[in-house]
Amino acid sequence: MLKLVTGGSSNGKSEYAENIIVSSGIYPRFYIATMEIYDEESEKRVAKHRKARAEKGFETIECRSGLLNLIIPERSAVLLECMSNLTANEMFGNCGKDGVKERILKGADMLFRRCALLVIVTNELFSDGINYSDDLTQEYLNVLAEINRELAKRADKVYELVCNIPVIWKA
Amino acid sequence: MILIIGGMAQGKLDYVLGQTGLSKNDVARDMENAKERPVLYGLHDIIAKLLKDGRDPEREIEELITVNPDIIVVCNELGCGVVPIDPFERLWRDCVGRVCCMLALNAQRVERVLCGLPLVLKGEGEWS
Repeated sequence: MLKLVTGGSSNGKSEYAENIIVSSGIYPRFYIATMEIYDEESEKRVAKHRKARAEKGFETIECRSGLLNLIIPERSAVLLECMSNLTANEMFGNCGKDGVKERILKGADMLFRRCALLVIVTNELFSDGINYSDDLTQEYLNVLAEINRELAKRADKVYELVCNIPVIWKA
Repeated sequence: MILIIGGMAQGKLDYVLGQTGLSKNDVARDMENAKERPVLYGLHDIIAKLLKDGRDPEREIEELITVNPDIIVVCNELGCGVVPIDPFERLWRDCVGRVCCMLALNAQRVERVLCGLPLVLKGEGEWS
């Protein structure tokens, strides 16, 4: 089972995604953390998410890039958060920006095959009406959007969180 | 209370005025007038101003809905873009998101307006 959770920033995506896993009752539970910690602000953000997960029985696995190399026990419940970070890390990291979409989707497919339940959090970054003058940002947005669309095709359910309310796009 | 959200220039205020029969004179655009008027418009701008003045938007808006519990709050959706480079813009859009989550939790109705059309996210039946 694959569930995709999207939405704008600070709309309650993380909590909703965590609760999908908690209410499934499946153990073990893994949280794949993708965020690069590079300053105090991201440290705070990570601390906030860690606290929210503390009571929910998640074991955290750090994965900034190279999803395909992860080893996850079969039949577990996995929360991958979030695709926008992973895509940025993959694109601007050592492996280079060629084949980012294919690498990430291969990794997601591998997880999907091994897990009993996979929840992927992604982000709506596409509606601010800005044409980014640097080609790289524009390319990043295109790649992330393509990944989101591919994941939505594979997903059993797709939710958009708006003000903490789930809007069901695919059920 | 009622929360109306949506992108800019989607017809949120016209929709509210149409539903309620209120006029633009009934619409507050700052915290002070919001205590008495039935509609608060442009919450995202007000939050930016509160943050710039070093005030606590979450607390003040929570207070507002206890003082004026039937208010209709209109706010732009801001969170659907690339994370801004400017730290204040990051703080602002996160704050707007959190305040809207809080308002939605307390609201009898939440609607999202797109191309002038409402999508009901929370609540049932007609506007009372």
